[in-house]
Amino acid sequence: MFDHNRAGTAYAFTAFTAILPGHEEAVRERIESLPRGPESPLARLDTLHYSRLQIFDELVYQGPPQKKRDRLKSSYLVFTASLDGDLDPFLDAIADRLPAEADGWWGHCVAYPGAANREAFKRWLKHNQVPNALFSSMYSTESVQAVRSALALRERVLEFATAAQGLEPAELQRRFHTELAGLV
Amino acid sequence: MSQVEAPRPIERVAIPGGGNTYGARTALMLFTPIQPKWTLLVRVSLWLGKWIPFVQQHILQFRFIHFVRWAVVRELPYNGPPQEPDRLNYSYLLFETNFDGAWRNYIDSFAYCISRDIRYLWGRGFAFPGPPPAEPLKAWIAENSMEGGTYYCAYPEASTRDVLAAVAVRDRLGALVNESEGLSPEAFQDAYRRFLVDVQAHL
Amino acid sequence: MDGLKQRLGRPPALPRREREPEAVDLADIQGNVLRGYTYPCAAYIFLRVDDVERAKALLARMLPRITTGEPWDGAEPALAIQLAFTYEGLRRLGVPDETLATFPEEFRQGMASRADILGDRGPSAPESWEEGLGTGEAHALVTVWAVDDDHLDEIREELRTVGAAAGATTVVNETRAKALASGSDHFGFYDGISQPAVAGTGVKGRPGDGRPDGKGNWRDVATGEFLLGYVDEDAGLPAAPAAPFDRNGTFMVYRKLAMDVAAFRSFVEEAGRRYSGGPELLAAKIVGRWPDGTPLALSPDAPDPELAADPGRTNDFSYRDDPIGLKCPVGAHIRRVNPRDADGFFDGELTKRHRIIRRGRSYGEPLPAGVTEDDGLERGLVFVCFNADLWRQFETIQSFWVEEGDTLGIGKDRDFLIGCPNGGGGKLTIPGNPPFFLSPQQRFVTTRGGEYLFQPSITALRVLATAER
Repeated sequence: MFDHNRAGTAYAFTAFTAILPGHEEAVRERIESLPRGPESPLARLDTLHYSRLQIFDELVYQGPPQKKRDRLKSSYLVFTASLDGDLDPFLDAIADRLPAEADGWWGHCVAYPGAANREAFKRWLKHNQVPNALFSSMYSTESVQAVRSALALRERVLEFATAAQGLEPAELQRRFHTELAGLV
Repeated sequence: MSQVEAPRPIERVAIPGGGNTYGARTALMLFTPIQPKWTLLVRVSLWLGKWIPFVQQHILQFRFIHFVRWAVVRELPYNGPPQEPDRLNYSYLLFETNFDGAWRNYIDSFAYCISRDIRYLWGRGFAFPGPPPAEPLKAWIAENSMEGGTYYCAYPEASTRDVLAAVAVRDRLGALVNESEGLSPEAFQDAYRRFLVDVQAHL
Repeated sequence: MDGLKQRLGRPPALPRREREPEAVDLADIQGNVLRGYTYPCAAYIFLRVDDVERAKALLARMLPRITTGEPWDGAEPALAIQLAFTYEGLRRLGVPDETLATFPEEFRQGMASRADILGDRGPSAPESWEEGLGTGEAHALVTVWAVDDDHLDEIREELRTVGAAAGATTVVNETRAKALASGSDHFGFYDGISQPAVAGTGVKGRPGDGRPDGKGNWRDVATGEFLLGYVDEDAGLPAAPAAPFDRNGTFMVYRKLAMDVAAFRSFVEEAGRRYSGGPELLAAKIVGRWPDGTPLALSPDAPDPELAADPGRTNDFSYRDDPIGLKCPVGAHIRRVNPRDADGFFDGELTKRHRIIRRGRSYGEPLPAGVTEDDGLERGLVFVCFNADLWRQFETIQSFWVEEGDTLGIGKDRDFLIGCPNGGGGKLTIPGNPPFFLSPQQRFVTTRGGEYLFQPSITALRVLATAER
């Protein structure tokens, strides 16, 4: 049975976790104060391509002909992750590498068991998972590591290609073997 | 008499920002109601999306989108008290995308290049301002997009095209290394030149 | 099932888009938006308002002499005068706060605050700009064109002395334009060939000036891309400030760009020795045209003087058949600033809202032919353009197409001719068999100063001159 959360070897995880009444500001403050970039706790997850943590607290009324208005009874913390590989090891990695931070933002959510209780932690996240209908990526078979290596390699190739212009064949071949061939 | 809208409001469209961007990467998330009579059609269209060439060639062709997902949400997960169950009147279309560059220009691509697809999918909602034109669509998106929070990108300096180019260079270099086994310097120079010609658009 | 198909197409509420030529109110627009003047002499005079009432009186007196878009009977008048204001200038002249708030953010911030996205770093940074620019002191820009220097000097004196004597204004910055005898720019290239063909002007656009129509032809670009109050390429009216600024006005970009001709020439000479095509071709590859204006896209191997001299042909080309840039490199200057129907732009659908009308002029004495040593004299281009939306048009070109290349498919490469050098790196790929990597990027152009301005309609000028504070 095809898993619609998958594209190639990539996986899209989406979770909507209800925030405890009165805790919305605390969650907001917590996620907005997270360091960004390589200092982000999410950077410790080496299979994570892209991720967002945001608060969902309003269903927008579109206007006529929408007849009924939906109002949320809770605010939700929405966690989306585009990762490579399987979900279980990814959730394990969150519990292993950023338990304090995870507790920090999910701790304000209903029925959160804490990262220390590994099985309950994973069960809770899967319980709150919203399945995707379609997920797609332009490079769905490349892991995070593969992407980073390829990007670095491209820089080296360009450096080489620029410096090697005008070299005699023997010198070109020698330098290619020394500088580039081993990188592949 | 040309049929144009009344002058648009002078306030410009509020631009999503903050949590939604990191460097030149931008995330967009929408959660919008679907008309009940169309919910099944939306579910089936997305479900089959992968296999319909039309979808692959249209909505999924843009080389500035890293990852994109859709979900149809009928009910929100319930965890018991003190959470009150949220019973929604509609199914909602969740859309999450990570792309390169400016939000305003990104929406132009949707509005001008795949307007039919956009109307097909989001037009199954209520009061959707079908593109073209693009400006009302931008206003609608600004109104409906989820803001704030935090945004993480594992390789923020790289655009989608950078990643695709890097992968192409890597693969072609691998082929060059293989074929260069035991070649004379002149033959290697030829092979190397062919390599450069093949990857010139990727460097 | 048929009904289903119908409804899955166009939502019933959306009217059909109709393109209809609109007559532009030529009497109410300022003349230089739709017409490029060919006067030999010109000056750009920035004024600071010292006394608001006197300045308004001066404006009221100048008003009848502001050149409108109306056609001239017979010969051009001896003088043409246009007037534009910075945000600070509008504020100083007493435009109410509620109205000021309706101007777009980038205009309110001013060009100096946008330095980072525009690539104005290092020597181009606002801290190094000429006096009077980027500091908030520049309130109004008076641009004057004249048939000769005497007429130009007369009006300049009038503005300096009459203004000063009345204590109304002070000149805070001034540049005198000077066309080169050859008609080219300081780098030796014939500039200003490509201008958008604008709908509703009654002037037939030349092939290539408009936007690609998806069928291999060209059609005019909607008026509202360049003038507020007219339908734009999105089939609506462009977002505009509140009345009286909502109609017949436009936004203006002024950028004084110093050109290092010696550096350009010596670079081309040196790199041209390493490049198999030689220095002339190398320079053409950087620009996208040969010095005489022949587009590489039509004549990649050599200039074609007949073609270049034919206005019906010199701009009539496409990039569709050259996705990799073997004829005209993807990173070439003219291809960056106007990608037309290049790959990734969907037959012009994604370029149609990013056009600008250019009205710049060269300044400074030319560096004598063949000289590759800098003489310490200032020369360059006063870059001026008009657009309805600064961010979407000028800033998108400058920030996404010149100062980087991802949208074009060339990653972080910057425009090799005018872009900011990439900290010791940077390159231009000249596609070919084999490709040539031109590196590292040099600084040939430095920003000496600039401002974002609003060029009001005649109606709006009248309101500015007479409105109670």
